[in-house]
Amino acid sequence: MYQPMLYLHWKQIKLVLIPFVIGSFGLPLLTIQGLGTNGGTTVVEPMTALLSAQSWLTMYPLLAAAVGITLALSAWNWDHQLDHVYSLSLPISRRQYAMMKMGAGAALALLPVAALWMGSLVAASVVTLPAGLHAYPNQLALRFLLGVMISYATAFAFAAGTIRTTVIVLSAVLLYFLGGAAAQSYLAVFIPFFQHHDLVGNTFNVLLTTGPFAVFTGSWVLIDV
Amino acid sequence: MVAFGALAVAAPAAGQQTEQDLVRRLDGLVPQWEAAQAANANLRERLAREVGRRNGAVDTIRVGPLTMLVRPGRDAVARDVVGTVWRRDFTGWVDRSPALERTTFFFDWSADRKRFDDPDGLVRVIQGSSHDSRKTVEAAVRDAVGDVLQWDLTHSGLADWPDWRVYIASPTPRARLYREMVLSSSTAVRSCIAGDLPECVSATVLKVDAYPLDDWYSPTERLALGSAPYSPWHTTESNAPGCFRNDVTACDAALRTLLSPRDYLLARPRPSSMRGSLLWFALQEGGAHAWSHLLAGPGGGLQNTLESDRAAEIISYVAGEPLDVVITKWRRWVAEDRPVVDAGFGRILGVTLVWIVLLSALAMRSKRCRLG
Repeated sequence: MYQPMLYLHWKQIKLVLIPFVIGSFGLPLLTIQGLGTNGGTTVVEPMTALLSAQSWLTMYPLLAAAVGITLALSAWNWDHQLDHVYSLSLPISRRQYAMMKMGAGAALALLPVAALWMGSLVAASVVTLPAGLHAYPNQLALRFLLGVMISYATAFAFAAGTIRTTVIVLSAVLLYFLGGAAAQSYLAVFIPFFQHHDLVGNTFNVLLTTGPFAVFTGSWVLIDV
Repeated sequence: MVAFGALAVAAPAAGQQTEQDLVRRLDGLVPQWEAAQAANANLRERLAREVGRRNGAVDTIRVGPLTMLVRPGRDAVARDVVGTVWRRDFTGWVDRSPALERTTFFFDWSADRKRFDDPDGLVRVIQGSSHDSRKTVEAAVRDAVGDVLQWDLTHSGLADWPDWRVYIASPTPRARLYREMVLSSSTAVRSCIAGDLPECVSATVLKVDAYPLDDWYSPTERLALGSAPYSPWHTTESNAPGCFRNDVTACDAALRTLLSPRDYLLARPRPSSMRGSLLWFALQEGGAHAWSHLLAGPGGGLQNTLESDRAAEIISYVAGEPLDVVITKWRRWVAEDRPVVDAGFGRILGVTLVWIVLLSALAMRSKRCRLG
């Protein structure tokens, strides 16, 4: 049952996934462009090298999120189109079905991750870095893997539910952060507790440090000191 | 023979006379010293009265060498917090500070914090509310004491070169300094952090040659400095054409002609916090009398700036060790805290895996028959 599901998902996503794989392989190579390669004579100053590498830094988490979300939405695409008739016709529970579907998407997510890892290793082996700077291909690939997987899991969980549930959850989150901040400012005038406690800000900080997207806040560097 | 004999007789007499002169002059200073002490005590008394008039009753307490004003009944917390900071951060290297002796601090860390009224700025105020953590209040105490300590250096030559005197109480964190040194635009600084100790002497401006730029910067870096649009020396294609034509020899020749030694110092290697860190480290190495040694300087008062060979002498004197030993230890101390790129990644890994499992479980809970 798992193999057909994997094949089905691959068939549906391959035209989107192949550019992602190529992009994942090429991004580390773009990151080191202009820094000089082994055998060459150009060695730039460390600060220039780092700034050049950092200009690509935001692309990594964006790519991870894009890969994860695309895979998750495509996993449920044909179910939504056919009103879930296919899954109802299968002799397995809904839980097993969702688990297999999730596993198939996760396996496909490994393709861009492996491509980024390979690209990072190639980039690290060919670049000539100024003294004091180092390349971190393995750490970057691991971070990319986690970024892809958490984006995939989040989007998959939303896509597995109904549109109504998704709208309710997202609206509640938005209401809390946008409305909560305004309400807090208003309440602070009357209740001293809110003058000293930033509940919305603290929630945001907790989400950044221990929330699902904590991995996106770290250092996504291929080159650093 | 006669001349030698005359010198042998005259020398002790001259020495004795000098000693007697000095004793007489010192004795002559005693009344002035006593008057200054009395004036200082009088000033403190008046200050306490004035503060009391404006802010209600305050008690005066001593914590180590610090004179503190506290509200009645709050002396215990002041002794605890300020005493902890003093013992931990200053006792090891500050023995005596004229600035601290002159200064009165006001300390208050309480829930019902009232603004301290001191329009003349005569008192150094350290206040924390109940929302401030002990760490925050301790940092405020450390910064206040560190600021006052810097006043000791105001009338020394160090005042001209803030590189050396900033961060006396709180030096730049080592990991940040390491990063800044690795990313420095100066070859000497980068070589220093990589372990080349002679380069450290140049990089920290402890040795300044007639033309120091070639000690600090590589030829490419000198060309870049000479031709930079933001060059502090206002070099142009007309007065330093070599720098714009990638001719290092011509560029160096032009810079030698154009610039005075003080101009060179405008391009001293960055980060400037490196020099403050070295001075702080030397003070820690120097132990209990390090601060007095810094103020006194080797062989007399601290008259010169720390920008020449004398700087090396002062650093060595303050640390009580040969310069190469201090530099070696300082470099190793900075390099020990090299930034860790994947610091905290274990926690992020754990957190992310937990969330992936949680979100997967939520996805599994979706109902079999649900349309819409």
